[in-house]
Amino acid sequence: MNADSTVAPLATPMLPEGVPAGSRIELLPSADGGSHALLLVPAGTGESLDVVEAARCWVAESVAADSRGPIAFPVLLRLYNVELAWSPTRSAAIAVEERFATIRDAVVDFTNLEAELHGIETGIAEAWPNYEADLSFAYGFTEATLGQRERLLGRYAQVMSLHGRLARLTRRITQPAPQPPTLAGQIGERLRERLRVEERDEAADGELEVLCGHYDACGQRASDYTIARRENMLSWTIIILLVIETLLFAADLLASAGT
Amino acid sequence: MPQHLSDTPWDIGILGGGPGGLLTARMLEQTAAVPPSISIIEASDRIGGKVLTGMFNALPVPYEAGAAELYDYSAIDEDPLKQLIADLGLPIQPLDGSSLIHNDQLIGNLDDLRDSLGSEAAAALVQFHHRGRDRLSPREFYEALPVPSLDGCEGGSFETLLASIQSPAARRYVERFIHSDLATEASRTSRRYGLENYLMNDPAYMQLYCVAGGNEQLIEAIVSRLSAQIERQVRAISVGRGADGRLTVETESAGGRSQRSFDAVVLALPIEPLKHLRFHGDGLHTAMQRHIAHHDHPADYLRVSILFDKAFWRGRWDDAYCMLEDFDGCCLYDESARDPAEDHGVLGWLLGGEAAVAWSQRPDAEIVEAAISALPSWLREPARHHQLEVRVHRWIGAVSSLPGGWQPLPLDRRHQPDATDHPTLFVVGDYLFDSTLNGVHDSAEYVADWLTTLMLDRPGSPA
Repeated sequence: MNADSTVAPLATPMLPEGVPAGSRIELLPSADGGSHALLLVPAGTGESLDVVEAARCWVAESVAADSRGPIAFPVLLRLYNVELAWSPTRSAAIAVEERFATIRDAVVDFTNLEAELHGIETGIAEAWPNYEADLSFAYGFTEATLGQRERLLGRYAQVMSLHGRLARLTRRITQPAPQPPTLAGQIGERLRERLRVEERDEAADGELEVLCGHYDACGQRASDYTIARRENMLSWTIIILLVIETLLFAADLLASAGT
Repeated sequence: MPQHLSDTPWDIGILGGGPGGLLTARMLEQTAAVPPSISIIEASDRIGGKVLTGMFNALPVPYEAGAAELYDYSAIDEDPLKQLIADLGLPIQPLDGSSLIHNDQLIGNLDDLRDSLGSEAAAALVQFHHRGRDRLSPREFYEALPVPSLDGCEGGSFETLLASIQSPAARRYVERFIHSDLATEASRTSRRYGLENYLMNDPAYMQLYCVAGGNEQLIEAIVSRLSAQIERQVRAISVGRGADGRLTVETESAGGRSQRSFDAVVLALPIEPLKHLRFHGDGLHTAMQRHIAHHDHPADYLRVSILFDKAFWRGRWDDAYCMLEDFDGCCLYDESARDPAEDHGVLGWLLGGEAAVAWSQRPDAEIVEAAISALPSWLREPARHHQLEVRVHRWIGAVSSLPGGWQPLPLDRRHQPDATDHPTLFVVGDYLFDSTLNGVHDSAEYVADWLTTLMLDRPGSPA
């Protein structure tokens, strides 16, 4: 998890009005150091629309600041005997109490996965202005610009780190859901589908290919320039030494001719 | 076999205007260096066979009266049928569903199953699933590779495989889950075909989809691109060899009987009409009887489609299909899920096997009442209240319960019943592969490739 994206733990929110007795909120620790609030509502014999709406509104309260492009929060899922509203910081589930543990695990797992992907996407978005500014370095260096090498190295390390994180995440994203299907597997699969996780993963991979390729080229050009400069200096050193040697030889000849 | 060449293209007769005949014609027209002259002879007044998209009278809302879904194998490898649909510019709609309604409860996953049927049943199902995957891998499923432990009839029918499920509740669950796909009883099909029908619910093997707006659009799209001559309401009576060495087909239509000669004939007919076709000559007659006997394992469907003024089930059930316990296991489709813009609701029941045969003999009204009674209680009353129109389609003996037979023959023998004396007489059918549209595509492709090679060897008509 990107250390820059660490968020402060949330205080436990209040239970919304309209949810039945027995409902509770759990604060789930997230991998970025923050918390994800999960409202668990025990299901009765067919939920009234009011309960579903109350749970949805409670999740919607938290999502004003969240953005994932065209995806609207909260994401609403209706699975077999489970209603789920999900946002990056809050979720609400209506289900029989026996399912709470499974739902909790599935929500924690997906929330962490999505947060990591979002962290990588944010890192990529921040890297693009630098990329634009550094475009000329992929062509070549001059004596005046050679000092930028350290800064470029830092940016190269940054995009390579993002690429490494994405590669580890891709393994989790492309892992097939368990079969026969489990509730946790279905929740994860549906959320991945609704949050377009696979497409986002592919897009991030494509962007990182470009960024890594660019900084790789910059490194190559810097290295080429440094080597060329060293070769140039060495050539001049040899020329000077040869001139000195010639002068000494000439002086020696003149001296021996005089005696 | 006639020896001399001529400049005229091959004259090919295709008996049957279903998907097999149409696909063979399309592939021949596309791949042959010299396009053959093709005649498609269809006994009925309709082209398309088991691919039939009906339209209600009360409202112009489509429903699938025949083949309801297509199989998507693209997760494993190439999928030529899906590619064809894409090439024809037809939109597709994935179909999702994995639930069975048991005692009014949706069993949508292992957790629900554990609650409804108990931990023992859940464990037994997981074990059956994992053993099934070990026995038949997705690649073996896709390539139809031989699996000695599953092929043949020595080890018993699919029933013996089901008997290995220790928990009766889990066994019953599996039986109900795949009954309508099998269209027969477990005792009448092979271990392999039964297992394939179970494993195809696992996305690693395949996924389901349909042509958005109706599967029959596929037929219409193929027909609109064919140059072949399509003759409707012309019934083939017999096939034999004429004095000139060409194959002859005797036909009957409103204009009377006539005899036609072809350089090659493709029998793209289901087994039942094939049984009523006469074959002249002892050798051909014997070869065709052997072919029919090997593949004659009829299976049955019954389809009930009901139009409702609204999709009242949404919110409680949102999948494209689920399984019901009645009729020994029956598939319930939310056909209106195939068109997100559709305001009205359409439910389709697919009954299979003995239940389909038994109910097909009853009047439509009784069948419809039984279908509605099979719904969970929370859908039954709204179904009666919102109903607008019903349709019933009987498909008795229309598919195969044992495609390929107990021991599938080599592909050449499957498609060419009399290689020695009638090498230009071919058969095409879904019953040779897996009783699906994908299977008939494979069969048509095999025969079209073969005929194309023959035409390349002898570019002019052999007549």
